[in-house]
Amino acid sequence: MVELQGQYFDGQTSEGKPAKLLCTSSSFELQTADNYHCYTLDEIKLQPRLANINARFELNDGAVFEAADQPGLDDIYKQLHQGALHQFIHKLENNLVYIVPTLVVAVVVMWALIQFGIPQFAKSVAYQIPVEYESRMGKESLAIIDKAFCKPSKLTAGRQAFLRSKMLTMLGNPDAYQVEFRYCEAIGANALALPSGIIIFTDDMVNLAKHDEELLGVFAHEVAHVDNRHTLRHILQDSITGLLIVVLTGDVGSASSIAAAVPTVLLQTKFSRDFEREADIQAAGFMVKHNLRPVHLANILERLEKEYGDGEESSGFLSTHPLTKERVKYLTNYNNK
Amino acid sequence: MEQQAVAQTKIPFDFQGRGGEYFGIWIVNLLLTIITVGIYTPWAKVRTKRYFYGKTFLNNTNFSYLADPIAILKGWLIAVAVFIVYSVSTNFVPVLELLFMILFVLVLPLLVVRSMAFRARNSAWQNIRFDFKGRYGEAFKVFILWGVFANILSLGLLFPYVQYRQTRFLLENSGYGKSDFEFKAKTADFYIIYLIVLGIMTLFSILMVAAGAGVGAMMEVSATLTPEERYNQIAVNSQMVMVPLMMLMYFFIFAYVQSRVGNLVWSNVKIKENGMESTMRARDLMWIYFTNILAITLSFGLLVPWARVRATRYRFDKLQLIPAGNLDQFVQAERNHVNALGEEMGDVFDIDIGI
Repeated sequence: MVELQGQYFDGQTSEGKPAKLLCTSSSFELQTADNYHCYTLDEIKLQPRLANINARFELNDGAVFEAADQPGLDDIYKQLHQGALHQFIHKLENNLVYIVPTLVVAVVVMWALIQFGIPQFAKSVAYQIPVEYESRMGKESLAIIDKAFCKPSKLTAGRQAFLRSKMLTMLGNPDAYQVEFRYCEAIGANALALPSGIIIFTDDMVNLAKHDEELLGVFAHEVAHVDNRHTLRHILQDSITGLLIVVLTGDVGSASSIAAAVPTVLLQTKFSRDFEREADIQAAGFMVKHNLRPVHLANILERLEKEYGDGEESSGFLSTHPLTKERVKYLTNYNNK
Repeated sequence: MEQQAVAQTKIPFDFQGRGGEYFGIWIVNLLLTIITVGIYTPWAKVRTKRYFYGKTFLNNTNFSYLADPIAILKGWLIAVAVFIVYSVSTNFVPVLELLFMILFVLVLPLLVVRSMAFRARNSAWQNIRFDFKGRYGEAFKVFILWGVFANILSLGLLFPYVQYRQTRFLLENSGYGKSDFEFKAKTADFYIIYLIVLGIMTLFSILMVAAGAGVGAMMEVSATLTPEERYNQIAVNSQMVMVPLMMLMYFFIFAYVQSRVGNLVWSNVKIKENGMESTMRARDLMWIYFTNILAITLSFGLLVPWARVRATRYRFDKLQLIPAGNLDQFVQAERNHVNALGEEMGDVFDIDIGI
């Protein structure tokens, strides 16, 4: 038999009375100065154990008996056992021996989820989304870009047609792609791949090139983005990461929203870089196949960085791309293989 | 002598949470949340709240958080489903964003009312539950008509009044047992706080321009540069002084508003003639927030539990109850059931309803 000292609240008024609870294997006798009541096992509910906060016995008449940590309480928790899971969680939370491995496991699981889980999931979902949805998305994106950032190209119609046909003839399925030229002061020298195979070159980009082969290299890079559904995967990965961060920080409170925003942005940048790397690798292979030297792509990348630096003007293209030096090195070496 | 007598009648709130203790709960929550793909979230939330409530004492009795994780799970599942539909569909069809916005505006007051009710009715002290009786219509008025439209149309001039109205709505509809909260603050009190903020901003701006100009003037500019390049170089150097100053200003104003509004609100709450007194200081809050952010960043988030316990402790250290009489006389109200949907929507979409 265990005797617990505590406070009794009848649930009708906020008055608290000193009380004791006599616990036997089959009944719980509650005694206050002016009251005595015997409860059976199923008339009493004990809140799951948590750190060393007061044990809260909820009685079936709406009253509550609260007891601070004291000898004998352990036995009562075991007697009114609330399932092995609750016991296990309480044990985990309270022993450093368990906490440290828990911490390590948590970090590893999170890392694996972000490194492999989310990208893999996004990839399999992206390939299952019907092409019609993607093409609508592409058209809407183009309309928004035209409205907000770009004007019709100032290149001659002949130059446009020449580049377009040169690019598209390299492809086995030219109908799946659409090459657009735009004059976009706000974006600077850039090339964009929209979902559904729309590839936009800005006039500045075309003018930056010293050889048309360089533009074909950029084109190959953008085609790789399209073929691998990078835009769609990027959107999915960003959404899922956002959700993950929301879920994980949900119990941390809103004070941490700044802290939560930082990893989200960092992860999204990392995803972008991974896609750029993948696109470079495929572009190099594609160029070699069409008797173009990948160093052309390296050259225009280098010039792009020289012209635009890593300043704000190029934020759309460079900041989310891997280090230009690294990419140039890869593409130049590819040529020598 | 007299002051001492007054001081003795106040009952301080006492938060006894410890960073180390909460760390265990926090890290286990994190792990189980990850490996259950979020399903554990409701249990994590209940355990966290039970810990913070259970460690907060008033008059030697702790508060209790009584929500049922299963009820929260239902709300959470719906909220997550809506979030997924929202984030995926608006990416494919950007026009939908507008539709969601309208829907959101209509639903927001409901979320406020429901989550306040859920939170209040699952909070108790001395086995008497808190209560919230606010209705959708009034919530729509203060959060949408005033909170969105009046704020925008008045270019922010009405902001202090709107904040007063929202706080009054949230508090006057709250209760402890059968006793309703009263809110005694006046609109003018809110305006005074923001007038001082305006003063601080003006002062800082003058300081910033002066510092920026000073740096510009002291700088040596190479004579070989063109006027345009010279101008750019001066601008860059001035910014290096002005940007940190600006961040300091925002940080200070944030802490100032938090402490002053918090003090104003809680010092003007009355429950059955019992009053409260809140005495937070802007510089304390600024220090706590600053060191917390630093600690969290340098520890890669591991010090989040410590930071949270510390901020909570400060909050309750500066809060006292001024009792009018016996605290045993509060009577339980009839119980109404509220589901957790509003609460979870608010959590998943990160809506913070704070008083």
